[in-house]
Amino acid sequence: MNADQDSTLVTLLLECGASYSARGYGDFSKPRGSELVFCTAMSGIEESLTDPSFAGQLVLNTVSHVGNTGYTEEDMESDRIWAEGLVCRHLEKTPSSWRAKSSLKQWIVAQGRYVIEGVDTRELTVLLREMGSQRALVYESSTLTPEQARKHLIEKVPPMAGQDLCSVVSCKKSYFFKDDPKAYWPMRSRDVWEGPSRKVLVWDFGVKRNTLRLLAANGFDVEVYPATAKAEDILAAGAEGLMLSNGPGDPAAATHVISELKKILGRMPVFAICLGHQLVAHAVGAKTYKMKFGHRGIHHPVVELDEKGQAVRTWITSQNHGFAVDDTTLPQDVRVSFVHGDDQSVEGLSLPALRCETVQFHPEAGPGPFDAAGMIDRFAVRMGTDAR
Amino acid sequence: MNSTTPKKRELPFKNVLVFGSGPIIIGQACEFDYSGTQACKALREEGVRVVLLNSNPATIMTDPGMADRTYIEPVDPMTAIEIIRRESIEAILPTMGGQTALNLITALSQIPNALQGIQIIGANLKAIHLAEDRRAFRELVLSMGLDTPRSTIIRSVEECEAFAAEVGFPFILRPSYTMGGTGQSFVFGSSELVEKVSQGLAESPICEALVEESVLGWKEYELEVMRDSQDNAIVVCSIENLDPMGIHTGDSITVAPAQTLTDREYQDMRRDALELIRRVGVETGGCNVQFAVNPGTGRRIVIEMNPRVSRSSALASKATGFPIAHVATKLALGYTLPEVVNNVTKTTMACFEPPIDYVALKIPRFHFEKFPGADDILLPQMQSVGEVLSFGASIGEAFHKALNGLERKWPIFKPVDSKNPIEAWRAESELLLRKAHSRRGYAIWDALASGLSPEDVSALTGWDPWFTRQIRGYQVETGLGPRAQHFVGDVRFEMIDTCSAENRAMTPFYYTTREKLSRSTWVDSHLKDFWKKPDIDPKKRGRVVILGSGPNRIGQGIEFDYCCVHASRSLQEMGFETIMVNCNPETVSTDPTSSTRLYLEPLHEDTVRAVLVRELDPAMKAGQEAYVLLQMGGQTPLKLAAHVEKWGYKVLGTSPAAIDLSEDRLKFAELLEDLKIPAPESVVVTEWEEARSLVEKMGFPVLVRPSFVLGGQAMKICSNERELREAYAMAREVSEDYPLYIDRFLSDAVEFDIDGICDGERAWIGGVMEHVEEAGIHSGDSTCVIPPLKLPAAKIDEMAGLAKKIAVALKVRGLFNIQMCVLGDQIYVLEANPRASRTIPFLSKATGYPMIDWSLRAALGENVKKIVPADRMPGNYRLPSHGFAVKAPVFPFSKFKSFDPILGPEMRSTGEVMGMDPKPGSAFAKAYQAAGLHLPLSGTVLFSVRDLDKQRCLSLARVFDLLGFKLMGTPGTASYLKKAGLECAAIPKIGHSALGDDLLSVIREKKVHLVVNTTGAATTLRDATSIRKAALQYRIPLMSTLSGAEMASMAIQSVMRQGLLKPMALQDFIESGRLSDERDPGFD
Repeated sequence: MNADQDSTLVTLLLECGASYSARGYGDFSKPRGSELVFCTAMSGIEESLTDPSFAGQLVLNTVSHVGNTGYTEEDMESDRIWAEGLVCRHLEKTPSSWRAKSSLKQWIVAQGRYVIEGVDTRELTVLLREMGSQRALVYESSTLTPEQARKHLIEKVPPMAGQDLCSVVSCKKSYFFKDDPKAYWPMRSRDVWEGPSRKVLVWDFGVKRNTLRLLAANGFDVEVYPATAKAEDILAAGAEGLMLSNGPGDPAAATHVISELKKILGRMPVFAICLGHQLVAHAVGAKTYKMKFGHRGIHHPVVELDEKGQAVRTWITSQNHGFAVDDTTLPQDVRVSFVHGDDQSVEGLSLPALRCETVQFHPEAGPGPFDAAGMIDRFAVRMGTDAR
Repeated sequence: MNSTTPKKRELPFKNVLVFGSGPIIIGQACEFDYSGTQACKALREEGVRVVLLNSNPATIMTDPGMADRTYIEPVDPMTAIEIIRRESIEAILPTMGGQTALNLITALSQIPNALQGIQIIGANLKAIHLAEDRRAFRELVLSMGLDTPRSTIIRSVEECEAFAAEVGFPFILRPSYTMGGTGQSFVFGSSELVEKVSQGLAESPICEALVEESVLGWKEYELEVMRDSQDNAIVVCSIENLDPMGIHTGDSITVAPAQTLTDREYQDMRRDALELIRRVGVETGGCNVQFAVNPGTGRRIVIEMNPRVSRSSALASKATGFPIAHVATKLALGYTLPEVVNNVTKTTMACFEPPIDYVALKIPRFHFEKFPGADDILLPQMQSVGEVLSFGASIGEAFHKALNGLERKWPIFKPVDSKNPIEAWRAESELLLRKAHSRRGYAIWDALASGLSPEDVSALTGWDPWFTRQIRGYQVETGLGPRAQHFVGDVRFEMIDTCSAENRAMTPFYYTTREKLSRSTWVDSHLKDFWKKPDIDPKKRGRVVILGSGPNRIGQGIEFDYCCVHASRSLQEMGFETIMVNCNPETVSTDPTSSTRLYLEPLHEDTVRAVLVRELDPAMKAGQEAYVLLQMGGQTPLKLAAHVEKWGYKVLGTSPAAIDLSEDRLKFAELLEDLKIPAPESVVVTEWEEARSLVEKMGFPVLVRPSFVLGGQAMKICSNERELREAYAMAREVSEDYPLYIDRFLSDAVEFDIDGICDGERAWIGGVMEHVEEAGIHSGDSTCVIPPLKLPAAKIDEMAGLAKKIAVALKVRGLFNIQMCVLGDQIYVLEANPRASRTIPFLSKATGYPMIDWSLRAALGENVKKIVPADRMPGNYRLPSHGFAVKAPVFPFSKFKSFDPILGPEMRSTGEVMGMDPKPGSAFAKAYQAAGLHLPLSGTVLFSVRDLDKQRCLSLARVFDLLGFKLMGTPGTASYLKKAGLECAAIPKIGHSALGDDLLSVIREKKVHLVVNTTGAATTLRDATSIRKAALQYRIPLMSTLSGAEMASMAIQSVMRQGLLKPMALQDFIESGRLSDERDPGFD
């Protein structure tokens, strides 16, 4: 809609051979390759684009209109856009929100990323649902022939499977989390916490700000360690517990993390989300697999199971993952504590002997519902009572 | 996993009573038929014995097959208590019947022991109280740390100034202890504060006022929330209003999903809504929560919450594909959300939040032209009568489709045709854009299309600029200008699937989009199955596209939806695939399970044609039968009849030519002449002079009617030239280019509605219904009774015979409805409609005849004699032994205060109720009671009748005198009654009494309990109008015709004799229907 002067006629080419022309905004002087995935969230594009778990991916948003409320800065989940780009049907260039600082388009382009619009996103979603997530190339239509583009896509764009991206997006040095008081959800005042000072470590594979906020709100000093951290440093940090964050890429490729993690499990309380959860599975000998098109959205039902495998209740959760834990490879003593309500895939593990709990979904929301935020509170309680 | 395979629950109860919502009124329409029907189905799936109470016969839920026991009886405590006792009720579901049902359960809870041992399911009494009691709810909201409008009690101007300094302007001033909101006003600035506040304080007997922060102009949101016994809770849909706070949400243009909130703002709102449903204590069901958001600061306040399904939940169900009422009923039975399967995907659970990849937009349908004198201005009180839902790939498309789904002529705004339209729009902006009126949606479209900037339009209308920019952007993209009454671009069909295509969907529920979006040829060759036309099913006989009746309006409402839904069911049973096209989200017809495939689309020639091409062309090619059914949806589909034929599709049943013949009054008059059937003298005129001279010859009174209008719009009875001139001018206004008809008006004739079925050669009469009010009152506004009371059987046979003759002559195939009247010994035919009539649902229920099913079989070529069982052949229109059924109308007069509440040839009722009883008086009493007319059993009757009626009034007054009522009258009437020897107090006319009572004061002070008022000459008109308005305002039963008053006296006698009215189940009523009269009037 209302094509701007600054748009470029671009082509979106998919691995399966389908191609779409579209209006593009951003720098297309070179072809841009990535994995194309779809996300059904009807809000929260600013949070999604800044979620490091989207690193290396081109995000197709299924909702009719994107960019309605523009860019706020305070809703960012990290300090930059990690997704490669955004595909949408209608991009609004003039935001309407009392909090908007600029339009979504301006912000995306200023961050060196791109957005394309005018595509039948529903058709493309059906395609991804049926054919699976796949590599994609976006290029200025006049610069490449279809054959050249295809060659570029096959030869130059790496498949997601086998990529270790968590060390790319992770912080490079450890630091203590300090929230921006201007954030839309600043952490609750530390005054609320009346106990002695406590510390929790977060192992950063692409952590989102809201995870850190929720830990801090539970009264913790939150220290963040890079993906390259060593087990002995983590164990020696004097923390009550360790949280493994979400992150991008293929968990099986993060072998350096898995080997350090094996040394830690059982020696301190651990809570892991998303990629962290998959890494725990690897550390206990299980396998992960690449899902056909993954779970990306903020409406996903997850069923919490008790020790007998009976449903306790169902949570509406925020999700963003393309890999999942294969339940047939789990050791006997690992209990599946959560499953997806629709496809029954593994959504959480309980390893009491190893003092570890994991979830595949995002209790920290941002974007999405807070319904499962209590998982982080539960971890806080567990750290307080786990006296080993 | 056990989570998606629901095990049947062991229920602690078997007999469940479901409350319906009663008659259709403004604010409570057929959305509760949709929810109630879903509830009945969901309960019976679980083996529950369903007992239903609903007084509205036009509903699907009151079909004898929907519940085990159906009580079409007044929805009131006494009736409910009797049913509870008689049916051994163990549980009550009160959350499906709107406010009526909640009020009823609340009333029952206040009657000692009424609910003893009965489980209330869906929402408990505590939750209902908490959500309904404004003060308790406000306290709860504040205790949760949520925000409400700031308010305080003030006792002086100074205190108020302090409040204003804190919250700013405008604020609302509500003086304490004044009647009905007297003195309530907005204070917009400090300049008027002192004057308004001192006046307000003076009006309060205790010199006190509540001042409240105004949220006028704030963004308005509504969330549809569900929660189960396991505390799983979901938001099914978020709805954002385009019209900001200050206009009732039912009258606002709204859109789903919410568009102008960031995720964080939305999630905060969502969390508050879920916390509210928990704290209010709705444990098993659905409810909605409304919020207002300050567009400048984001401050969010809670407006209200309804602990039941609502109009919005019907809308949300259609907008998302998630059947809220069905799921809510399962939750009420103790199932949890994860246990209920998503009916659309069949593979996923109902515990999720549907993401949608289109825009669903609702636009209300108003009918102000029915109420001359009523201000066309939208208020916090709801005034719309119906709504249209539309889907689009963008909001611009959805908005444009919705405007064209309203089925009204696009208004002509002068600025559009002006040389400098932008300036012209600016000049008229106050009236056309700032004022919230019923056609503002069109004005906004046209203003934007004429070049007024989105920012300007937003500043005037309060619409978020995002909306106006989108609409303008869509106009630029499509090239659509002002008055864009057609769609452009290639049509594409997409699915409503609850999941943005994430899962494969099974429910055949579609919408069209014509947006130009980039698509891939690769998909065409590899995945085209997902967009292909539905496969021909070789086992089927063919396909029928059923055109629905569009948005509800006065004159065309739920009755026609009833007919469409029945048609679909019956055609499916006959081996057809049925394809429903309708855009009314409130209805059962737009439930995807009502037909083989549903297209929720405007009844517009462009969209209808696209559906016909997609559905019927393949059927025709495959050699199957393929039809369009136009007979069921009222006038709406008939307007498309010519198009359908022109495009080459077969109309099922009566041909468009025959429909034309009956609609064209000249041709129809010729036909009657040929058949030697009398009709009132009638002329067609195009000029005033012609009208005047022809009427002079004919003699007054006459009935003036314009062509091509619905529900008798602008029809007037005139008794002199001055009235004729006025009526002529008015009729010209509504149908400028067409001739007007002027009929001789038959005063005091008795009118009849006759419904029947014809196969083209043989006709059968399903019923003859007698109107209580004399001819001249629109048939939709009349109270009617079956079987007739006033005429001998021979006369009724004669009418039936004439009706059959006309039906055969018109070559009707299917349903027909003929209106006749009898004056003295003479029968006159007034009109014939070869289509489903408003009376079909009532008649079907009164007789038990499946009128729609039989008519379709006739339309498909079966012989009527074979269709109608032999023992039903004579028809029961004369003397059924089992009892009497009465249909009474319900009016929206209290919503349009400046309008004179009188009946006439123009239809004004919004809904109807039914009363059934072995005794006619009790049937009338039930109908009146169900219509909310509480007839007195003692007290005073006030008479004020025109001279013409005085003699007849005398016998009526005698009856009331004998029944022990006191009589009062206006001077003329009183002296007439006194002369005849009756005791009757004379009450001075308004303003004619310096000291004592006058007409208004006796009504205001409730010294009278029933008012009988008929109007004659214009001199008394002003008084009469005041009497009627006052009676309405103070809720005193008013009879504006003598026949109505006579029936009321009969009803009163019946109740006096019998004591309590005894509820009667429809199943018993029909079962007892044994014919007492075997004479066969024969076939023509």
